[in-house]
Amino acid sequence: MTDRKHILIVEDEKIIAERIHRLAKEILMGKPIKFSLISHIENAFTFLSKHNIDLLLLDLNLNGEDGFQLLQRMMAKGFQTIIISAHDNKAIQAFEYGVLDFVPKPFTKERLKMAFSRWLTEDSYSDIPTKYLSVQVRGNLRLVEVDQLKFIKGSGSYSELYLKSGKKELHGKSMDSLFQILPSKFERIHRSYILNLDCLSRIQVHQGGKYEAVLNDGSLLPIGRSRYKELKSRWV
Amino acid sequence: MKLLIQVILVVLVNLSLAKLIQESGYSPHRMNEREIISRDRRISLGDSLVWADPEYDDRHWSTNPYLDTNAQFWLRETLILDERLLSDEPIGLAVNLLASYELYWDGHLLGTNGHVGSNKSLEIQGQHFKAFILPDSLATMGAHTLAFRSSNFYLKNKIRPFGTWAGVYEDLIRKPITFSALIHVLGGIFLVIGLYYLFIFFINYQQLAYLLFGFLCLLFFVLTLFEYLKFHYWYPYSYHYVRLEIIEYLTLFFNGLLLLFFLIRFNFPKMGIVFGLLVLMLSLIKGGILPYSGHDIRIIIMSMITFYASSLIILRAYFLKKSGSKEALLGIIPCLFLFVYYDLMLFLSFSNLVLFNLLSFSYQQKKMQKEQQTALLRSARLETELLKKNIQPHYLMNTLTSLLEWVEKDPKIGAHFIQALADEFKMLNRISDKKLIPLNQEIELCQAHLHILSFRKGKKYFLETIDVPENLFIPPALILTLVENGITHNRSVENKIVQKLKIMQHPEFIVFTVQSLGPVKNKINNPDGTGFKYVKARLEESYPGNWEFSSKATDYGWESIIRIFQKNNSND
Repeated sequence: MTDRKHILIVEDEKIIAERIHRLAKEILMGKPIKFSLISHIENAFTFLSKHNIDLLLLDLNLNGEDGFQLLQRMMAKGFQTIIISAHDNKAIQAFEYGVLDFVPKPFTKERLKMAFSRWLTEDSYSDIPTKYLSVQVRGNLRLVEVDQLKFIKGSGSYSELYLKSGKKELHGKSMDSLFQILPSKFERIHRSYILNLDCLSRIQVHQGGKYEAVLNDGSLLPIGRSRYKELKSRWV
Repeated sequence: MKLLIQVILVVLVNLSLAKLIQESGYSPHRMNEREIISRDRRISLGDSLVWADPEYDDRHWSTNPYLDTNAQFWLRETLILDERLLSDEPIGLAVNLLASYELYWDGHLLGTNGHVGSNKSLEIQGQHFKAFILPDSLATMGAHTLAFRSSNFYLKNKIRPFGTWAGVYEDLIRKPITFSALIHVLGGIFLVIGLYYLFIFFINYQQLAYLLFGFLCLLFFVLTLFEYLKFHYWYPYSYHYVRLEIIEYLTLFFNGLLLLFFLIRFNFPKMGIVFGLLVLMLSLIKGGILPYSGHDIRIIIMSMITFYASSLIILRAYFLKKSGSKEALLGIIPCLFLFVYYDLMLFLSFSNLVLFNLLSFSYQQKKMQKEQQTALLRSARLETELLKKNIQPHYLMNTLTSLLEWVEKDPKIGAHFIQALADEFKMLNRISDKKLIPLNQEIELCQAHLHILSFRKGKKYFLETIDVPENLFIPPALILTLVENGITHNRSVENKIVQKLKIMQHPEFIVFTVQSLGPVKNKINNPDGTGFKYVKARLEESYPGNWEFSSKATDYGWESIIRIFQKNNSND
C-alpha cells in the first residue's frame, strides 16, 4: 500500500459525510489517502467516469435517489464499495452485488474500522456470498451469476471471467479485488487463477512437483506449488 | 350471476304470490264456479208489498238501479239455480246492497237486514253485506224471483246494489274470511318490516330513506287493513263510503311517500320541485279533476302515475350506476305489467317492490359497512403512516448518526439538536391520532422538521407562509409531505432551499400551493410514491371526492397544489 489511494464518499447529509471523512482519516492515519466528498448522485456518476478511485463509501438514499443505481452501473469498475446506509434491510441485496461491507447507520468508529480492515486485507470475509458480477459487454452492463463462473484468470489490473457456457468476459476489478468478494467455494489455485471448486474434477500430479487441475469439461489449469496443500485440504 | 339470481327471484316471487292467491280459492272479482249471480235487476221507488209477488210484472221498472237519491225503494232480480249447487250442503244467498232491506224469495220473506223505514228516524241501519240460508224447500232448481224492500236514508243520495249471488252457504261466509286472513298475514309482514326500518332509523343509521321506507311499509299495512276490511267486518252500510274515502287518502299518502322515497334514495336533482309537481297531480286526481272518475279509477290512476314516475327515477339511477338501483328496477318492472289487474295486483306489486327494496337495502348496507370498515382501516393506516414518517430508517438513522457525530465532536450542538428532535416528536405525538389539525400547528411541524433537516444537511431550508388564515383545519402532515417532496425535487442554491406556502380562499374552494424555488433536479414524478399516496389518502379521508392534487415541475422549481372544494358545492 505504498501508492496514494483515492477514496470517494457519496453522502447527502453534510454532518454524516463529515463524520465518515473524519473517522476514515483517523482509521487510516499515516496512509497516503486522497478523499473526495460528493452529495449528489449525478455528480458521483460524472466523477467516476473521469477518475479512477480505489474505494467508494456509498449512501443508498441520496435526497430520495437510489444509490443502488450507482452501485449497479459502476460495479464493473475496479474499485471496491462499502455501503453506509440507514436501510439495513438492503444489506443482503448489496452483498449480492458484490460490495465489500455494509455498515448500518448509526455507526461507530469501531464499526467503520472493521469495514476498512476488510478492504485492506486480501482475504475473503463476506458472510453473504456475492451473487452477481457486473460486466461491461460492448458498452452495456450485464449481470453474470457467480455460479456460472468456471474460473477467473488475472490479467494485470483486469480479470478474465471464464463462464461454464464457454464464454469469456472482462471484469474491471483485479483478481485480488474479486477474490475478496467471491464466495468461499472460489479458491486461489495459482498466481493468476481463481477456480470455482464446483468445476474441479480431479487433481493431476506430475513429476517434479507439478500440479494440474482437471476441470469437469476436461480443460487443464496449473496449480501453484504453494497453493496445492491448501487446495487439497479444502477439496475433499 | 348475481343478476341471474335476482331475475329468478323476481319470477319466483311473482309466481308464488299469484299461486297463493289462486289457491286461496277466492277472488273478489272472479266468481267461484259454484256461485251463481242474479240477473235482470230492476228498481222502483216507493213501497208496496205486492212487489214481492213473483208473478208481478215489473217490465216497466227502471233497469238502472244506481240512482242518486234517498228513498224507500224496491229491487227485483232473477236468480236461476242449476245443478252446480246440487249437494247436501245448504245453499245460501249473499247480498251486497248498501241499504236496509227485507228480502223476499219467490214471495217468501227470507230475512231482513236492519229495519226498513220511510225516513231516517224510522229506519234501522243494516250492514253492507249479509248472507242468508236458503231453506231446502225453497231452493229448487230453476228461476226464482228476488225482491228487496229497501230504504237507504243513512247513505247520502246513493242507491248502490253491488250484487246478489247464490252459493254453498258455508263458502259464502268462509271464503272471504280465509282470503282476507291470508292477505292480513302478508300485511303483517309489512307491519314488521315497517317497524324494523323505523327502529333502524332511530337507533342506528340516521338515513331518511330508512324512515320513509318504514312509513311506507306501515302505511301499506294500514291500507291493506282498510282494503280488505269488508270481507270480515260487516259494517253498517253507511260506513262504506267513509272506508273508501279513507282508502283514497291512504293511497294518496302512500303514493306521495313512495315517490319521495325514490327521489331521496336515488338523490334526484331538484327533488323538491319534482315532488311538489307529482303530489299536486295526485291531489288533483284525488280531488276529482277527471270527469266520471269513480273511487277505483282514481286509485288506479294515482298508483299508475306513481309507479311510472318511480320507474323513471329508478331508471335514471340505474343509468348513473347508483347502488341499489338494479334491485329497485327489478322490483318495479313487474308492477308495471301487473297493473292491468287492479286491487289484488296492487298488493302483489307492492310486495314485489318491498322485497326488492329490502334486497337493495341489504346491498347498500353491505357497501356501507365495507366503506366504514375501509375508512376505519384507512384512518388507522394513515396514523401509522404519519408516525412512521419519523421512525422510518432514513430519517431516524441519519438523524441518530448526525447526533453521534455531535456527541463526539460538539456536545453543545448535540444537546440543542436533541431538544429540537424532542420538540418534533412531541408535536407529532399531539397530532398523530387526529384527522384534522389547525393549519398553524401543521406549519409549526414543518418548521420543526426543516430545522432538524437544516441541522443535519448543513443547508438552510425555509418555509415562507403567505396569507395564512386563522381557524383553518387540514389533515396532519399534509403540507409537511409536500415540503419534503419539494426538497427531494429541488437543488439547493447557495446552500439553501426556499419554499412558499400560499393559501387562496374562494367561496367554493380552498387552494394550498407549496412552491419550492430553485433548479429542479429530477423532473420525473412518481405519482404512486409513498408521500403522494399519503396525501391522496388523507384528502380522500377528510374530503371524499371533493379534492384535487397535482405536483409537478414549473419554470421556477417544483409546485404542489391541493384544491379542496367546499362540501355544499359537491357534484351529486
